[in-house]
Amino acid sequence: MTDPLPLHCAEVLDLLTELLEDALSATDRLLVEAHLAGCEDCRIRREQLRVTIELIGRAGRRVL
Amino acid sequence: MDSRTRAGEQVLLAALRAGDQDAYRELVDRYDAGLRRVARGHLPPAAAEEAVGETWASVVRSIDRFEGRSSVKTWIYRILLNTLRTAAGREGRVVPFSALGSAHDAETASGAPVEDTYRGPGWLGATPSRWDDMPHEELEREELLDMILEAVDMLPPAQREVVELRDLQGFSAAEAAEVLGITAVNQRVLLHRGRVAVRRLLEEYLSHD
Repeated sequence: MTDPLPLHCAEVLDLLTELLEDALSATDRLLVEAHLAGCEDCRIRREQLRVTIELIGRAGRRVL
Repeated sequence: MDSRTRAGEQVLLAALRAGDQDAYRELVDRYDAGLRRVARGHLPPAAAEEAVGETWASVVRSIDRFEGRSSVKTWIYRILLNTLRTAAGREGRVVPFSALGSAHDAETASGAPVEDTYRGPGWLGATPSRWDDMPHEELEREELLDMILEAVDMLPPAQREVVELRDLQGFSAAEAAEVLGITAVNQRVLLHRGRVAVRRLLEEYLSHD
């Protein structure tokens, strides 16, 4: 079996929610983490999404 | 649901079935605001209030028939969603629910194709700005949190429903999928698109500071 190809940034962005939800297959998780290890931009994008999620939750707690 | 939560649910259910007014008050305190937010995403304010009222009336009428296969929370929200569908049908509205699938999700509220929002500047094609080195006070401003709420309200209906339940109201993936009657995969796709859209608005807001 050939090794899976490394992911591009766009593919990683598509998978960020699944990564944060721990919903990726073992293979996909390894591929995403391998990409993140070598791509600072995508690490920043992951952090942006994490902050976005946190702020939505904070906004919700203010009104509920 | 863990065993401790399940035990708490059983105590609550027993109290509700016994007509314990304090238990009903606790239930309303816990879920009324969240139900109203969901309802206002689908109906004008007066109709939304009415739908929430009908939901609570259904809860009281039906509590003896509730078999406990889901949590009380998801059961109540499912009643609301069904009430909203009925109310939307009465008003002759197109029903923008997640369960209808992605057709209603193809455009943002502004009418731009979803791909433009997803691939917009500031994410792909540009170096993203760091937010983790921003002072905490910046990210806790009321004005910013108000903007976040508006951003969620502006999402396409199917995305808004999922982001509302998952990120705003803290439902688990399984709970949200059950309430909305959609698959876990569909729920996650809508959630991701909604989060990405809110992220973009947040980026624009922060870049103008």
